[in-house]
Amino acid sequence: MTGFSISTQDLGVSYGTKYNSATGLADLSLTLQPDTIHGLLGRNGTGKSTLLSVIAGLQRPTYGTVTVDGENPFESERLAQSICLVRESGDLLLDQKVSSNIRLAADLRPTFDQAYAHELMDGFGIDATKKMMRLSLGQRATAAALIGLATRAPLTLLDEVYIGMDSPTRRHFYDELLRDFVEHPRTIVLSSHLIDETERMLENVVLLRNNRLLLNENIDSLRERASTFSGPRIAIDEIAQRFDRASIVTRKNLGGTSSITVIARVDLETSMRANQMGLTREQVPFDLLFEHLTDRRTVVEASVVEATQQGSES
Amino acid sequence: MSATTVVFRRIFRLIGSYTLGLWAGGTAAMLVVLSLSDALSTSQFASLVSLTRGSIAGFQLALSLLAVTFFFAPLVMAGATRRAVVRASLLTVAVIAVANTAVFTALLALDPRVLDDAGTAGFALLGGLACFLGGGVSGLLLGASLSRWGKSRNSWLAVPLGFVPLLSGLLATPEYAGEAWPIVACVSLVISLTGMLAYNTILTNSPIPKKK
Repeated sequence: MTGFSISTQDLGVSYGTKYNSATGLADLSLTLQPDTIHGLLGRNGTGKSTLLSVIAGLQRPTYGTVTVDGENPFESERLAQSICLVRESGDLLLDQKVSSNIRLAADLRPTFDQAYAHELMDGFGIDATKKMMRLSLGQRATAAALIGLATRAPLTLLDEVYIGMDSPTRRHFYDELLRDFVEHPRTIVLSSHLIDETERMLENVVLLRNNRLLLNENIDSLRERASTFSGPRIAIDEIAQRFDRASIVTRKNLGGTSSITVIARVDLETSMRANQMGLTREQVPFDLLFEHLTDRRTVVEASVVEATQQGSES
Repeated sequence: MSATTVVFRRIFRLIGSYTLGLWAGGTAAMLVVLSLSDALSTSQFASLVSLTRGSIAGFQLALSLLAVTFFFAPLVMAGATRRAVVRASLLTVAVIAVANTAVFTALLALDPRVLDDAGTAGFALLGGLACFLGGGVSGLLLGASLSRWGKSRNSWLAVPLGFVPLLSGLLATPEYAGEAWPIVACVSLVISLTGMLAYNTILTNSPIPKKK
């Protein structure tokens, strides 16, 4: 079984009434390739959970379309069995045993591996004979994530499932997820705030900002798009002029030295000039890049940079 | 095994086991009360079995409501469609209503305090079915309304309407409707069937929000 592809066209979700509505998502068009681990990133309230809910067929979009493996996921029997969304809240039957929840998933999902699910529960120290409500919140979240993993659904969506887990459990879960993905490739979408922890697993990044799609890009090419130049202030000023103001996200001055972080492709000429002037060029850590990209004030910061430049000139 | 069958088994196990427990416990309690009333020779006692009709229907309402509020989201998240959950819960309520009617009729036939045998059997079957089905459907409607709309304004309208199938079923007795009770029972069955359609409409379009 291979993974499913996802496609959305002008997708939008609004909440509330006509007179008092809030935007969940706006004009979102994207395509996600199958058999890839995608990271769905964005700050709180930018529509990550809403997007996953729509993809999983848990709610209808207000406008636009979504297709998973070429079909609308809302009330599709084939896709209901093949899309597994695990949310932070767990969504398991709390008054039933963990083993009973495993049996339910096995009965409803053809790809579910019951033996693997029990193996995972043992490995993570979760007693499958206990009722869900007898488990701690962290254990419940872990049990739900493990059942989602054992589902081996062609499309697995993990929405902040790691929040309730402690640090060693999270790392163990990531390792297990990667190991199983290699053995059973499928499409996985991870929504997370823990960028530094999940970064190593991601092949593609979907970034939401202000409830809209900011970018949908391969993580390596995204990393290449961000650089920090540091060196003498005068040389930095010259390099800074080669970039669009909005693409310079930070500038720091310390005595006669200065550094700028730019999110833009650096052409060969600029790169050579920077070398010539003895500037240091470093890749921006991904969590910092995420911080800049998702910051609503990024454009404002560019104007702050302008003010800083004017200040330094005077 | 189809998703509807899987879901039906889950819901039926919950509602069926509690209903069985209620009948077993209730019957034992009734036998004790009947034996005591015989010993005391209180001839004013009405048929205890016929009095249980309303309470059994109320119990079915509570169980159906619980089944929807507890099972709906987890079952859809586990891989069932809303349609499968709706079909399975409707089937459960119908099967339990028929089973309740059968037990109710049997116990009424055994109750020594019931005098009019011919009329009682008809009342037990038609009036019982209308009442028990009404209770189950009311529970489903209330559960669906609360799942879909929560505390919003739509619930203010939907929740009172949700009680209509149960209330119409309760009215289908010679006591309230006189000789027209069979007509009231038939109307109540039609109301329950309409309620089933409404339940289907409410839930098959319902979003599945995150648990708070």
